[in-house]
Amino acid sequence: MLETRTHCPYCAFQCGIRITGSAKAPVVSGDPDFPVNRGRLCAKGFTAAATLSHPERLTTPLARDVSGNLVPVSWNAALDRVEAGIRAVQEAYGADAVGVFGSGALTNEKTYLLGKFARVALRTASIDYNGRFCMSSAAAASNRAFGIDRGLPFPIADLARADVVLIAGGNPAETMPPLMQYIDELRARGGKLIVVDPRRTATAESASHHLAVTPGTDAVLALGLIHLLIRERLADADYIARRTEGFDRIRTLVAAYWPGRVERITGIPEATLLEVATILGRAGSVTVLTGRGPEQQAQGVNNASAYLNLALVLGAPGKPSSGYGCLTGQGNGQGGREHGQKADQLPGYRDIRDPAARRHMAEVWNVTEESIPTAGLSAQEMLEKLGQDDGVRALLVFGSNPVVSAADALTIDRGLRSLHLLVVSDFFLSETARLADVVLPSAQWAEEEGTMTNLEGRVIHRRQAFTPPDGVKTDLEILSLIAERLGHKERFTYGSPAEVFDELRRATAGSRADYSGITYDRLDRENGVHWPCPSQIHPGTPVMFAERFNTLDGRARFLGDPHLPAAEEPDEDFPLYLTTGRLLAHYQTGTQTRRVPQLDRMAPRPTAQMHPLTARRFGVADGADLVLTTRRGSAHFRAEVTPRLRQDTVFVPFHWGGAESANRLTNAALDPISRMPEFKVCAVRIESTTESGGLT
Amino acid sequence: MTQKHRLVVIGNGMAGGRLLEEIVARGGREQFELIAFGDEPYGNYNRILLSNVLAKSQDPDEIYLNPLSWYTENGVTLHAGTRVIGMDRRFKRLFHEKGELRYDTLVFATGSSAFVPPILGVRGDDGELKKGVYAFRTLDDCHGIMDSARSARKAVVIGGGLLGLEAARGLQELGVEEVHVVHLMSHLMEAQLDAAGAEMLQGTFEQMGFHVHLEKSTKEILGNGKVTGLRFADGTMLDCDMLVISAGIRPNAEIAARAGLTVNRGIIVGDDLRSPDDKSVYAIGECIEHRGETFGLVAPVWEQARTLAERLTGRNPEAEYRGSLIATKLKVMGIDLSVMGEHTPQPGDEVVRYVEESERIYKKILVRNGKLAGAILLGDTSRGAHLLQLFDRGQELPQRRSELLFPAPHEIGAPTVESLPDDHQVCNCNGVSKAQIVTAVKGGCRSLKSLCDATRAGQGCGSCKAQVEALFEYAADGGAVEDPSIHYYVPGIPLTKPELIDAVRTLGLRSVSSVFKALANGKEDPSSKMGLASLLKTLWGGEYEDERDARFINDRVHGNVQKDGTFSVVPGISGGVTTVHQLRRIADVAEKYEVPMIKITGGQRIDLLGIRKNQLPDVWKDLGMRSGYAYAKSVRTVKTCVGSEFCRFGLGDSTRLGIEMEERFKGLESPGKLKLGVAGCPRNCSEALIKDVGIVAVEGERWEIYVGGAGGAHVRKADLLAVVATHEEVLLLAGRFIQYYREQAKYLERTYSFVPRVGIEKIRAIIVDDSEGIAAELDRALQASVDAYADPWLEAVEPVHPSQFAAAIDA
Amino acid sequence: MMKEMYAAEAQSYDIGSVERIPIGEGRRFRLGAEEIAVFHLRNGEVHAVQAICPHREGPLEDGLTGSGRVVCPLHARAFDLASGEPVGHTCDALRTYPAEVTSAGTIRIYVVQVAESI
Repeated sequence: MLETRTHCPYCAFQCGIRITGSAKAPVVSGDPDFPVNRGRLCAKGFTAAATLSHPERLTTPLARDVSGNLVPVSWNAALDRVEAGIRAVQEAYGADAVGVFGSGALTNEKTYLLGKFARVALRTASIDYNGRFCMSSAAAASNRAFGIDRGLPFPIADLARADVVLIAGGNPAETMPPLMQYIDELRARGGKLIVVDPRRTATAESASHHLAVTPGTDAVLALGLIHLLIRERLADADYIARRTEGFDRIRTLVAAYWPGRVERITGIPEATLLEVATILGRAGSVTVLTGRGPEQQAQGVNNASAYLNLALVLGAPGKPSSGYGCLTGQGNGQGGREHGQKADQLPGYRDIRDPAARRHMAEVWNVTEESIPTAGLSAQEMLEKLGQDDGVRALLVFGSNPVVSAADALTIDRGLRSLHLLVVSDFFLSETARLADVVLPSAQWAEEEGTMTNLEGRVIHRRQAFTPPDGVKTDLEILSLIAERLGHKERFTYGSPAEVFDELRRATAGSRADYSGITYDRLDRENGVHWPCPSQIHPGTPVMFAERFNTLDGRARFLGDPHLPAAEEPDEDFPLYLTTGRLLAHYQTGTQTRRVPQLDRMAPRPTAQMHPLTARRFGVADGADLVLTTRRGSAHFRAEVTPRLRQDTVFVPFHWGGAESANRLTNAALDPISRMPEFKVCAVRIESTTESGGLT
Repeated sequence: MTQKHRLVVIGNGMAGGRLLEEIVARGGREQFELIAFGDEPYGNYNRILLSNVLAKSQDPDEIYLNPLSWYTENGVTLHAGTRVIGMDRRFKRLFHEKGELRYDTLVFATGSSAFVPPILGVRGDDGELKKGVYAFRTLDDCHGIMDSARSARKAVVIGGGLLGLEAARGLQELGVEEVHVVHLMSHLMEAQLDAAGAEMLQGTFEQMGFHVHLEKSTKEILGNGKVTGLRFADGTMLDCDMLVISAGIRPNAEIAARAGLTVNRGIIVGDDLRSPDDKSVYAIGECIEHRGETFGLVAPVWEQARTLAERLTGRNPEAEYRGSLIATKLKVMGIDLSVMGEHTPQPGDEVVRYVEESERIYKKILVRNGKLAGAILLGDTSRGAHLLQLFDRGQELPQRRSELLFPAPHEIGAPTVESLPDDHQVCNCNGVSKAQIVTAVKGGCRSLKSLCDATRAGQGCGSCKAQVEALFEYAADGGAVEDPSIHYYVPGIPLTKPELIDAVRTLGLRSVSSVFKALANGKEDPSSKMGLASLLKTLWGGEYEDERDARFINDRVHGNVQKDGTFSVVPGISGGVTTVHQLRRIADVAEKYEVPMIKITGGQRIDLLGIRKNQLPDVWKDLGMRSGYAYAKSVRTVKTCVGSEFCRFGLGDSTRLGIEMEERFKGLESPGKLKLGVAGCPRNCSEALIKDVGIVAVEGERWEIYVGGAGGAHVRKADLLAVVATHEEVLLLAGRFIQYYREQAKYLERTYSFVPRVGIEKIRAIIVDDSEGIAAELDRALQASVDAYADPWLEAVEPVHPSQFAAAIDA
Repeated sequence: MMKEMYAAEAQSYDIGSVERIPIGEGRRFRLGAEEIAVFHLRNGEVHAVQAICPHREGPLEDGLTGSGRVVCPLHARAFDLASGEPVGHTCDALRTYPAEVTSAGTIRIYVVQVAESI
């Protein structure tokens, strides 16, 4: 029977899966030969094929008719609308008035072509992507300290061999369950898992130490641990001397984070702090991982840097089964941030302001240097200015659902409605697509070929199992068609994804994320290749920093500023912390998973988790309908009373849209460096526990 | 560009330094020209850690908040060690030792000074403190105290407040034999503690060897030139070599006062932290008086700094300081004390108290209008962090006050499986709910395996295994059984090992075929033969009726069959120690038979590969060595390191013990192969920790016995079984364990699964403590097997059958 | 198969006393061009099959027997000795050779040379 080895469409673990059967009745199983998931899959993976032949699948373009309804139209008619809209807006408001919004779910080929499309076909500076809501803080921290950003600078399997793994604000047991096999292995070997999280997550459950830190105080905790490591003479002085710069800055910084103060701010007892510091300091190998918890804050970069500094003080980065890494979220969150769909970036992590980089890309794209626009606005900023005088008037969205995923969703909703033209390419009618003027039906994961780059920087081959349904085109085809209509046929003619990849290889040659030595054949032969891989004989780079970091002098940098409190802290009117996150059953904005019956049964509607004492304090009954309100808006949830979190914190998942959208509540305060919105902390009040049904 | 607004800060301590930091953090560099004056010639250091420096638990250079370099990096002009002497408010000018300068905005952060009471003789003629007398306030004080503590035998601290006690502890840490604390009041730390708490604290403190004198008013410091003692108001005296005065602090407000700003105890400021007399003059820190309060702790001072930075930088021009909530911890090793807020109840306050004299635990909380007004936690501060946050946020307290003093049952944690709702998703991969699992168990799935097969729970990503198991236990409620077939000793006979052994013994079944006849109605299952043969040999020793067809080919011809049908020959080399003689013979044989490959094995022997079946007898004869059992489910080898004979680290004679073990245990059949190892020291060169039975020599001429290790496809660190002194004990206990394993383990179950399955505690009880009274029987059975040993290679001379080693026969 | 047998010339070999093969075991015999494993089962039956395992060329005569089966010593593939059919796996069936114990207590084996042309 025909079997295709490919990869799960969801998270950055990119589990290897095997598909057999027909497009109508596909059978999915874990791929035991793929060294990352080793045959394991989670509920999302097992059911991934359900979206392929889903009844709600879009198979024809849609466009808004005179009465404002989305109706089926031909590809030609749809593309006419797109072309006309783009031309009109650019004539009236200039090139930058047309924006492109990408995604960390797109293949490297799409990511690359999207960036090229914006810079070459549209000549707009307005391009960014939803990865800003995901990894950007950790990415900035790594870039500043290591001179390069790869989610994990080591293979995931190394986790199992560490003595201690510290996970700050990450919940792999639910967001990437197959990872836990390495944690199980770690524990079986007598290793320790330390989890920092305001919630007693399934991951925290399996930890030897769970630090239920006060939301928004991650940096304080990390700096407090460093203070103790120095005090207890457990810092790796030799490593610090040989491989780092700027330790004095950190030493004076942490002098302000003595245990008593840290206890008061984080809520973690001094004794626990000392115990954990000692475990870390005495361990032979420590791996520090951050998740979205510390990263999705207005202090995101500083938080990530604090944990990164902790790893440096312990002498971890670059040592076997040790180091600092970030648990990348989106399927191609890694590749997505490398190949030029960020406002300030060209392929291969090249800075769009750097003349050398512009020259290189001008050659690859065969355009003039001047014609390449400069840096534009970051995602949240672009979205907040939609339709405004100096903002974007026409937006093209690929593989993203910003009206659900962006912070302060109501503002974004208003912005999207005010556009002259909104084009959405998706395979379902997502909440954002519902607002569109033109919806273009695109192919899904198993229906097209491409490459993804997983959380460990392993470039992998996503193979095609089925041909797309009639009427559906791949994003690559769609971009080429629009580019052609805008008069750039010659620069957007590709025979296959592989040809796009070859151009990407040339584009990244010599850059920090060098793919030039990677070919589809190698990916098949070698079960993926870790970048950088500068030549076809280069083995790829599973482990980074063994000898040197990617800074000019090869040393890692200690960077970090004093902790600032969250942009919004609880007060009289909004007495509780609100934090948001993911459930096992669903992925990101739920566009796919909410349409899979089994997953929907697991979590049919969003619940708001709170501690029994908190429920008692606010008179909330388990299972009651309630409305949560912040300074930005309100949303509906079902109360779930559980001891699994702090008494001062309410948790809600962000997989739902409309009246159940967690991001109607979240605070759009941005990190000064990564421009990451503060999804993880704001002040909330429990408005009503009786009323039910929907606000809109 | 236009002249920047000039902001001058007098004082560079916890307040001034922090203010500058907060301003810089808010981009103040762009707005202001920043200038700071500091008395001390250092950067700004963390005063709260001074007592750690004194106690040597922290280096001085670990407490700097902003080294001098910080100021230059951040564009702040610091006049370190330059004293400000006065100001002219009308013309906004500041006068200092080295000149004068203009300011636009001025901030007093002049801090406070240690209060030295005007005691007779406290100062020398020069007006400086008498030799041997110190305040405890600055890094210089610290250095001074540390110096003279070196030579001091007996020290006195005046002042039983927080800082005084920390100073006393510091002196003790510095090696001063006798440390006395002299306090004016009727109990220690009266500012933070009530009498009861203070009494208990004093007890603990005295237990640690400190001497406490309460209600003592010092009248005179004795000694001319250098302190020699104290005289008190009651006439008593106390001699000493050094004296530390920690009698509180006084705001430094002289300059402000001279400049005509309103000064009471400190410089008066409003909630805007501005002087009511001058809109361009602000003050923060320990030099101020705000709403009638003065300050001596870091938290409020830093709050003031943040508030003022918000105002000055315009990030929040309306920012106001409305006072702080006070909380402190005593930093004295061996004493857990955390206090917050007030300690004496006001009318209407609710007081909750917990006292445990024997443990010296004292907990007290004051509740005012349902909120926490104050708390004292002495001896057990585990709840401190939680209370502190409730206190800081003025949060309404839970009804049950005990939840405040002790961890509530439902403190942050995971719900038990019982408490889970029925629709709770347990296995998320396959979407199995608690209800489904419970129903499946009730419906007859009495084994974890059958449960998982039936529901597919735990068969996805596997991360729910633990919970499924817990639920199974809960639902089966004791009635749990496991799938019987997984417990059969061999697939062909439907009996568990104990049942089988019992049947074999009672029916006297001495041969494999008889077992099939009696227990499987004659149905011979080929895959069960080897297991049965191994068991019967173990049980009957010499009486076992050997049937060669029940043996695997390896055991029929005593070699390891290779992929091409040839065999490998591994002669026994006990403990991996060989001789010239042996090596020469091996070499000769290899040459004579043109052995395709000679390989040194992981078990420290020599493997001759590619021998044809019909060559085996001659090869053995020519070798004249015993079998190494490299092919059998039996004791294989004992790997050793050089040990104390030659190794410079060696603690025990590992080679000798290794040889003794191999000579005794060689060839013993067992359910799975047994690899042994002996290490002469914990460096473990012979990998004893990943052997089925591993022996490690440790200091004190003792041997550690480890069991259940593995270093193959499965890797497992062995568990420590016992620590013994002699080789004899090693041989006894190791042998006893091997026999227990031979009798109890399932066929092909290696010790790495056997030991965890049975549990090392149970095994230790049985083997070491003879908890089941079977030790003697185990020893006897093992001895029988040892006695029954015969080298199978002797069959080279007397084959059991003419065609035993026949290759293809031509007809 | 039967048809071929008639069309082919069968040759019989007497390989000597059943005692040459220990009870329950097998031995390899070279009969003309053929390498044949002959088994002497505990129930008295004798069976002859191709000596080389179709899986990975293991020596079948060295395999364990029981219930009319042989299990290859290399990778434990089982075959039915009478029919040659694989048991529990998908390897090719073994070639079998008619075998009998003669009245003289010797083993006789018939090797059928199938004519190429048919």
